[in-house]
Amino acid sequence: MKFTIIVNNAPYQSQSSDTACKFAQALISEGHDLEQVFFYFDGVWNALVSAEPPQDDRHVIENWSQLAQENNLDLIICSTAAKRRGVGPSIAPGFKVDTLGRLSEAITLSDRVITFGGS
Amino acid sequence: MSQNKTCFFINRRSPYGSSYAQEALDMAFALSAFEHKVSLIFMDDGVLQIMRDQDPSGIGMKNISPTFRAWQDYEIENIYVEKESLEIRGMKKSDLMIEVKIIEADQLGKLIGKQDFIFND
Repeated sequence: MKFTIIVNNAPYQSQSSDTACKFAQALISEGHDLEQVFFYFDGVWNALVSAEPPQDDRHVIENWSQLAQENNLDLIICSTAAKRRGVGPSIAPGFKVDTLGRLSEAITLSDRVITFGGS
Repeated sequence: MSQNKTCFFINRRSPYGSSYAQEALDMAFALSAFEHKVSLIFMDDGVLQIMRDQDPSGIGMKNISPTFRAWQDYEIENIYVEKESLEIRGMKKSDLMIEVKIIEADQLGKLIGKQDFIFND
């Protein structure tokens, strides 16, 4: 089955992004296709390249970058949401800035769209 | 697989105090512009988003009302309001700035069941 994941929360303050990343890994390891991960609202903070969490904590942003690299994934951050918050132009590896049009395409192509965070 | 999906936005947030309302509407309109079949429901504090005569100038927030004036330019399928959310806030249909269909909470499950994509915030 083909999936798209939407991440709406920033890393660390909530667990949404961690859970989304683990869900993405699980999907792929079960043999499903992951069409796209789209970051919206404060979710765009997941692409912050300068994040340096304490060494004994997990690195949420690097986890995403690694997932993208290993699986040739598209991690898309919404351009309007990112500009509003000052995320970019320099962003973490594996992330790309694009419009809601990319999400629209992904919704068209996917059997399931799963949203993490937002409320 | 059909090209155009039915997309349902559940808007439960107050129009001000966070950017959720504005950004959720931006997404709804964007998906509509890309020819998905978009419907929305306003419920809980979300009903305040479509209240008439809003003036957030005192708190320095952008007025959300012009977003709804652009409504006619988009082909939004259906706009719903949940009845009890209006009633407990002392609001009537005439307090709303756009035409809506009022529905009961127990109709919501059936409505959600028909959708391909749900965005709940």
